Amino acid sequence: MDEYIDANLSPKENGSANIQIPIALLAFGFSVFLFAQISSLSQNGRSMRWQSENLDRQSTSLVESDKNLGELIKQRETIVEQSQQVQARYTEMLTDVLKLAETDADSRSVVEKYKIQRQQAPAGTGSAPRTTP
Amino acid sequence: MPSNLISTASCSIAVLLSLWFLVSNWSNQSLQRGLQQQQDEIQANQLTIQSKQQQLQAQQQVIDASSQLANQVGPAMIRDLASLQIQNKNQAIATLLKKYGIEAKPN
Repeated sequence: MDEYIDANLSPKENGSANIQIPIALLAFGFSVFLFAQISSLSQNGRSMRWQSENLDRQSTSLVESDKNLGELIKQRETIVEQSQQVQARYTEMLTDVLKLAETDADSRSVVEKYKIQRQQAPAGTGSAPRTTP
Repeated sequence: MPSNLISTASCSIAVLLSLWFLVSNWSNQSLQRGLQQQQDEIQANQLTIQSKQQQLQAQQQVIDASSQLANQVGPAMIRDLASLQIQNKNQAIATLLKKYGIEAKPN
């Protein structure tokens, strides 16, 4: 053991040098570990940025679709209103035909041919019965 | 002396890497929060779109039902009523048709 001790170093200095080497090795090992962790974090970061870009595109596309659907619904409102008017008019007429069919045979034959019947409203709703051909 | 220098350098590198690790970690957490927020926004948008699609479907059903009534069943039934009115001189049907602005005349 004595032959390894530098003749110029005092025993105290030699002991300090012996401690420095394991500390340096530990620090180096810890540095390697940290570098691996940082690399992994960096890779995760890149992946998340890519995901964020994709989500941005998806979000833009959804906003565009939402806007288009809103416009389409607005455009159709007039047609729907007209359709509801037509339906209401026919419903009124069919109700009259049904009423007439109670006393009139010709009307009854039409009712039977087109299978016109009153749609019973669900119990408790209290709404007027609807007719369907 | 050289071993002293090596250990100091190694420790300094380790400290610097620790700081870098912390900063990277914070940055990633911030990115993660951003992603979560974007996903929440997308989910909300998807729900809105779904609701609008249902609204559109309901509109289409109203249009289809009305179209069927106005183009197929309605005219055929009115034709039959008018023809029965003419054939049997049915005054009740004539009154009903007149109520809706329809006047049946024999050919």
